[in-house]
Amino acid sequence: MLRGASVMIGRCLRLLPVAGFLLAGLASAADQPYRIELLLSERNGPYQALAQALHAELRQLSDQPHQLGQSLADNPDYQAIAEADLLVTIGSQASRLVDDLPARRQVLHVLVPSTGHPLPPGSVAGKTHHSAIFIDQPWHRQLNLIRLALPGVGRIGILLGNTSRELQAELETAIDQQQWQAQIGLVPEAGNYLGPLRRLLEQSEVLLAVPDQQVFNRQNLQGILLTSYRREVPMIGFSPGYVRAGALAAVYSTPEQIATQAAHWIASLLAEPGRQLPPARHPEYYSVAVNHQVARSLGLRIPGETDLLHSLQALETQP
Amino acid sequence: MWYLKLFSRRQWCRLSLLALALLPPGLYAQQDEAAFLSELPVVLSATRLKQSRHDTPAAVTVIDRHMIQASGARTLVDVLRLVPGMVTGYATGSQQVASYHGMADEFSRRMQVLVDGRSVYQPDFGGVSWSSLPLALEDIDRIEVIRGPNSVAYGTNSFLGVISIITRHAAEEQGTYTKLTRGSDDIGDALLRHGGRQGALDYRLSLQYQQDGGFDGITRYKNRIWDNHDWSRARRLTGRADYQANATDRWEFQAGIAESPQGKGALFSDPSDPPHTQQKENNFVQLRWERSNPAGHEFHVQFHRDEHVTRDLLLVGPVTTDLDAATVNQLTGFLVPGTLTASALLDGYLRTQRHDLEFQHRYSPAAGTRFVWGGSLRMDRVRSEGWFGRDDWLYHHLYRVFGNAEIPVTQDLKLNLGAMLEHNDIIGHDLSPRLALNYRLAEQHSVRTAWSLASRTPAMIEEIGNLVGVIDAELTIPGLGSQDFTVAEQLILSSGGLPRERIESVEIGYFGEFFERRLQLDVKVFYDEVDELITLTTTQNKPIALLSNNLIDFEPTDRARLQGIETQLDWRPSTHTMVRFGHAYIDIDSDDLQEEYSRSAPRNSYLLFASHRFPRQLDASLAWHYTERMQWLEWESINAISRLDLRFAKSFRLGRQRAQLALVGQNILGDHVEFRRGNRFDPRAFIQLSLAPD
Repeated sequence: MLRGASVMIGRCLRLLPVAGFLLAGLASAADQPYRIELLLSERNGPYQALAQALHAELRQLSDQPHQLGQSLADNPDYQAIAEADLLVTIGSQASRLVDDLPARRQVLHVLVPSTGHPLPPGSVAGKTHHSAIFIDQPWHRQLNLIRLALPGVGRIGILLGNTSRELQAELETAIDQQQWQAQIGLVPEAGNYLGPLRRLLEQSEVLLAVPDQQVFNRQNLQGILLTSYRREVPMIGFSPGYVRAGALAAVYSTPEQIATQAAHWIASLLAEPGRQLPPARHPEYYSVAVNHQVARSLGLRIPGETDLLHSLQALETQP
Repeated sequence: MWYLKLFSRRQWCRLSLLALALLPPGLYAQQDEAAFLSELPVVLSATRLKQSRHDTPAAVTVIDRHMIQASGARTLVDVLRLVPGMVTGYATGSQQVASYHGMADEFSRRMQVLVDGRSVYQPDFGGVSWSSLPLALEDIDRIEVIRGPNSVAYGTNSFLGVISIITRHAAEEQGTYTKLTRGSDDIGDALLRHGGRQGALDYRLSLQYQQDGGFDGITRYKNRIWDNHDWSRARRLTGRADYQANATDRWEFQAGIAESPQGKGALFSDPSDPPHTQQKENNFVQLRWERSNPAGHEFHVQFHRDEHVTRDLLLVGPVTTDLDAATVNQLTGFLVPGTLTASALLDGYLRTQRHDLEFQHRYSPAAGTRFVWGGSLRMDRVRSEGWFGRDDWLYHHLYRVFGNAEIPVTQDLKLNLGAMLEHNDIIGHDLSPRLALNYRLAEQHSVRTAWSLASRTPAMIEEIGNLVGVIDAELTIPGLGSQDFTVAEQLILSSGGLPRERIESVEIGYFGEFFERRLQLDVKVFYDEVDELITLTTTQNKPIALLSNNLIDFEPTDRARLQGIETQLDWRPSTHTMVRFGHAYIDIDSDDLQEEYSRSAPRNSYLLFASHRFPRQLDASLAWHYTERMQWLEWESINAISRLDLRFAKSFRLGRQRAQLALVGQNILGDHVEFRRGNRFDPRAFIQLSLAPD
């Protein structure tokens, strides 16, 4: 994080030379192949996996000429970014740099969570056209998973911290639409989550984890999972890591799945260069993970991952 | 605003970036995708998960935290009453006893007890010293009782059943908790617990004091006035730390110390059992490392050291007896009657240590298949000149390897196959196999059938007991004067060379869930055959019998057949209500001379537990049990017992604390005789106040 901050300070100082690249970029934009520049938050892991998958998918999906370059957030290739027709930022760190990078026509943010992101789903901002494929799943999808995995439950417990509190209204609406009851527990200060959790579990049949580092962090996870398991309240997580840790199930998107969706979007831009990116949205491709060991222990018999996935997809395609 | 001008715009930009950099990581990272992508430690590992009751190869009863609290129990054996087939009691007001399916005296040698995987079964006398366990009831998360032999997983002595006590993870207790208890019969307890966290380290410390006056007052027993000297005190300090080193490794450290002085003997009673104080001490350390890798392999290595010390100095006498001429002749050569005044000092000092190292590996080689294997090394040593007749350490070594597989034969049929190979100094090699099948009749209904062999290693007192009473005596012969002399009287002498006790057990069970799993029913029919049952024998041909007429030995001569049916019904009509009903019918047919084993369990026993949360944070619960006439080994038979406990509690807020005030009445239906005829268990009541962090 410190490194991230120093990168940003460094970037502030480099703003002047960037203006030069910008002019150069505009001058030579004419009849080049469509240029896509990727900006990765980090070199390795999911960021690189996504970039590679995007390369591969795009090659398969489109025979239109295009040029793909990439650089890292701590050392952006300013010239290439300035000249690009489309900038794809991968991860939050890269995404946050955008305001200070030379102007481009379109920016696609991927591998970023929707909460706290400047682009709420479906919005278009400013002159530059921004869009995003968020990493997190829409509430209705997660609630559908609950419906399929735990038929009969009706009281959904949600533990919110100071920052995720703003989600309360939309969560309640989403749960209301399913004709369920939302039970909200608020954690006022970091660490002191056990009291609110215990009270919440008394009124809940399932616990839905919400990505808020104040509440659902690695340290609290022990206590949250153990306490809810003791009370036989299963937890629905938001990543395969949660399922391995002890959550009952999760619906999630892998970097590769997000890359597939991004590749589809980009392919249609290539096919029709004047076109704009669709508005920001949640992932279209996703997977389901189930911890059958936990399910068995809680005496639950829940369908397999593939069955759950197909049922989820069927529910979403229903009118 | 003047202060805004102190810095230029660029400086503000840098400052805000700096501020961002200094924010705690939690706040900054909230928008991060890391939460979605990172590996997390496996919290609910296979070891931590309780097996679904549809899949277990034996009947299992779970007593959870809620039941422990709602039962109003202050002692572990009062909690164990909530298990069908469990026979519990108090040998004296200070000595708790619990045994599954009877066949026990005040030391219950045929049942294994584990606390967080650590066997607390004592090698010296067998059984468990419940009162001196460094363990507070309030720290227990749940108690799982495997009703049936399970040597295949826990080695010898997991004979009739296994009690596994699991304490709470330190992360589940944060802040300071206090609980105070005061009531009749000198009952007074205090508990102070603090839980906290340092980074990835969670810890908990519990300090506890308990006191109890024991059974009340004076009774008539064996034609004597009997006043039990059975008060008890216990001081316990325990600590636990859980450290999550990274996404795969976890460390757990526990330590505890307890001391429990308690009254023994009775006033005006048998002169060989005068009132005196027995001091019991117990301390342990336990270190456990667990690794759960993403491929689903789970390993653990656990070491523990446990030490028990009993200090029990007993002065018998002086007792005056008239001797006939023949006895005086044996002692002195004079053939005249005389009077003997004798006293003896018996030193029951006993120190027992255990060092144990165990390893276990669990994994799932294919979907639905689970395999666990492991091994352990153990060294027990005991030192007691009084009980074993030698003043040096007596060693007992034990080595084990075991494996158990759960294999789905079809989607609905599961095969459970395992064996334990053990070698120890007393019995040599021993193999305990088990074969079980679980068949899912329907979504919520399953049947199981299991066959197993299990063993019990004789306790050291049974194998090498050697107790001698040294008597200082003064013989007075009228007209001839008096003479002082010392006599050694043998009280226990074990012949040794005992084989293991063997149980062959067959069980057929049904487990079903009804009304959206709100009602759970478990029925078990069992047939067990026990061979080479080690029985205490007494001979009375002692040349001199000043302390006791009996010379005690142990012989593996008897056989017993146990059969019966047990039912457990758990009903949770709502989240506020819980009911458990249990019944056990046990028929023991033994071939010992007095058929003592046959009477060592009640033919029928019933239990009922119910708790309900009313509006306004009011809780009420009852725990009732009824056991038919029975007889603890080596004691007289006792009549049927009906005991009812009630608890009422009101929770409220006290500042930033959650407070609860509870009133508990125990045995409110009136007096009964407990364990032996000299014990009168009278109704008692106490008040508890607890304060918990919000």
